[in-house]
Amino acid sequence: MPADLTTRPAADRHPGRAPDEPRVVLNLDQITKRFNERPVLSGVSLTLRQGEVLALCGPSGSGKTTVIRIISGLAPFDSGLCTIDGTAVNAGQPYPRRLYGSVGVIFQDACLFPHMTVLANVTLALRKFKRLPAAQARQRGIAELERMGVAPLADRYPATLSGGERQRVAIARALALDPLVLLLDEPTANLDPGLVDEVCERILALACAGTTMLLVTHAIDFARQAATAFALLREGTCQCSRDPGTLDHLRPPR
Amino acid sequence: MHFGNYVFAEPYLGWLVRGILMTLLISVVSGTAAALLGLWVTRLRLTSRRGPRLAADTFVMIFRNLPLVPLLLFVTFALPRLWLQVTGRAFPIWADLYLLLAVLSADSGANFAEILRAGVLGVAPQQQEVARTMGLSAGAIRWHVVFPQAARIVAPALATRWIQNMKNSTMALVVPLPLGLLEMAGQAERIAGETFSWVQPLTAIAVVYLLLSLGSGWFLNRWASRAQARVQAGAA
Repeated sequence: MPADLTTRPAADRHPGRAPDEPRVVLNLDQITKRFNERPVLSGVSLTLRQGEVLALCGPSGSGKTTVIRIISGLAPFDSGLCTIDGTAVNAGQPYPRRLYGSVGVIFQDACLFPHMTVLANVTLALRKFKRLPAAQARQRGIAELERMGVAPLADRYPATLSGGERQRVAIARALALDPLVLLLDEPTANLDPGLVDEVCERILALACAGTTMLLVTHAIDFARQAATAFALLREGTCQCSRDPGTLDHLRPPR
Repeated sequence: MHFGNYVFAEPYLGWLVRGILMTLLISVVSGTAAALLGLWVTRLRLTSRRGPRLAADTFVMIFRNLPLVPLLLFVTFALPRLWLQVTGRAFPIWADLYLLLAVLSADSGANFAEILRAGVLGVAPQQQEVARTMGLSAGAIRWHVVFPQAARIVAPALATRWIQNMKNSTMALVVPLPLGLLEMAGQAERIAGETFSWVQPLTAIAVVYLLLSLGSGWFLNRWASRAQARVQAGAA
């Protein structure tokens, strides 16, 4: 990891900015969710402003992935309100069309499309959803791959990439759509220790560049480096704070 | 022992060549139609709308479970009689070829659909989810994400069924086709009927069937193994 990114405390990256200045991109208000009568989320509230990185931590099974699935419209919720860029997602209602493609999701596995080249993975939604002409989509795709340092792999198939490379391609694929917010669901959990750094480094670079991100992770130290706000999800509720000490409760007793 | 050199003499060689061309025509046309039909039926079976799904399920149920020969006898002998009684008009003579193609296509199509369904179920659900978060429509997800992977997953089974479809073209034997439209086995039987020599024409078509099966099998297996290499290794 480059020293300039890792040694600086996260709060210093936005010097002199009032905490409530940027507009709210994502707001969850008292979201609840049950799986077969078993409550998973019982009132989760969190706020994410433009350019912020919110680290969402919590023990395994605490519902972190469920939060991401609710925000991205992959899972319904029972009550509460989710507001994304001023558009309300209501419980039991279909996901608003306006938000299609504007919430980027990075899963634990990269979930690349195995039958397509790396470049085709990145340009698929540009061509079929944004309806860009092929040449323009290609240009955009290459630019995003370059940003993630994987442009030389453009013509390879996902099966021939390392886990870290796949995850970087997945991030490029999500960023190509210019999402309002990027949701990362434990992006390094399935990687070999040697591959974690190359992905973390890119996520830190995105954080520095002002990408709005919700980062679900078990790696507390990495969360502290990358994030400007912290949330701890426990027993179905969520405490948010700008204090990195929020995550201390997660530390195993020594 | 003398079998008589009939197969390579005119007009029998011409009949045989005509039969080979008809076999190719029947298997390629019905195989292609079956592939398209199978895709369409698979698409209908996976929708949430009840009507189309029920219709598609019924289609697959019927054509996967009925044997070909009685089915062909029904459409080429019983159906024209029903038609005559209901409308008072006779089936045109060329209708038999189309009925044969339709039945072969439906039979293979139902089987393709069942194989493809297994393939669709084999595609990781997260593939569809990630495509949804990218804003792709249900149709785009089907055509660009799910079906291409499903077809690769079940490629060997599809290849086997394609060859089975080619062999099924001999079912044309039970259909009353004009002599010029007989496929390979029909022409062999016709040559045998004229010359009283069975060994030569049947051996000749056996060799041609083997060449066709092994040849297309080689190509299809190459396609299948290449297609599979990607989806299996690249599951993550």
